Amino acid sequence: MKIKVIAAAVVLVTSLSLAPRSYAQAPSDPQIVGIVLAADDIDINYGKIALLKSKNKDVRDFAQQMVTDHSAVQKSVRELAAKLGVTAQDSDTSKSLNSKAEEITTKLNTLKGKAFDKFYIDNEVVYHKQVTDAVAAVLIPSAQNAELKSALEGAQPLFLGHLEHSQKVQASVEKGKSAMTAKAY
Amino acid sequence: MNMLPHNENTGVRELQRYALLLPALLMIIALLAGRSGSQSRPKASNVPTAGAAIQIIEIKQLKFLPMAVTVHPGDKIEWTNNDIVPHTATTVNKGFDSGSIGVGETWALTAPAKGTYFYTCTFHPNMKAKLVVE
Repeated sequence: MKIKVIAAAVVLVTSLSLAPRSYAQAPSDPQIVGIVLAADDIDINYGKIALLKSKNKDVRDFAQQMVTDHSAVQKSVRELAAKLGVTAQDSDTSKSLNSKAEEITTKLNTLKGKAFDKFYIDNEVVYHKQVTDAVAAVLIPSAQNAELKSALEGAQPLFLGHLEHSQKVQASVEKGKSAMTAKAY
Repeated sequence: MNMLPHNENTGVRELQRYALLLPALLMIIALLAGRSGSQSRPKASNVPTAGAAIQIIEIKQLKFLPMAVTVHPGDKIEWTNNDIVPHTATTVNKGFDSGSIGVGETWALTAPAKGTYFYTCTFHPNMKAKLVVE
């Protein structure tokens, strides 16, 4: 119960950084590229901290996957941007993401053990919910270039997969035992 | 200066002629054998043996497509990764494990023993699919 309250609080606090006013003006393609690169960067950094600090196998596996997958997405976004001649641009959204990430990073650096695992994975659930919501509601509809739009549509299932994966790890961390070895089908 | 009588000398020359022809003949035989071999080899790898088939499974957007596949023993199954990140095709219990299949890569498997194999991607455990060998 306490964990759910904490998770809800994290949702509330972090969602403020992506409040609708941030999207009052539809982002341009260079801003979309900037938002995606910033979002990837942030999650890669969270993952690297988790790999340094966590001893929980599910958390570590998930963190490693975030580092691998978001690095791959980042690479493909950079390649696409170069191909399209689009230069990433900062926006209120990317700035807001980065400033919120600084707070989360500070918190991650202060926590240890199970408290760290809980905070990390709770934040990952919230973060991926935010990202998938933003991709669906703002980034895809705003993208002007067809290839950029299609790339975002193609990446969305990956982000949704991360959300689902993070929720499973969250459940296993809450129970205090691995849920990831359960039947996969 | 030749010390051999004329008739013997002729016999030796005949033998020498055959001896010269022999490597050439052997070379022709080897070439013919090689050509027929190179013709049959691609057939052996590309076309399955009698009755066997190739089943292609595409990995895209965190899904195995199709999710459920039924094959027969000896059939070939190919997983092609058309997603933006690496994946694996790994059975939940005993069976098979592709290891990492990189973006744009294909991993092939000859259908194992009859049975139902539930498999997943070890990197993305929410990816689930089923292979039935019957």
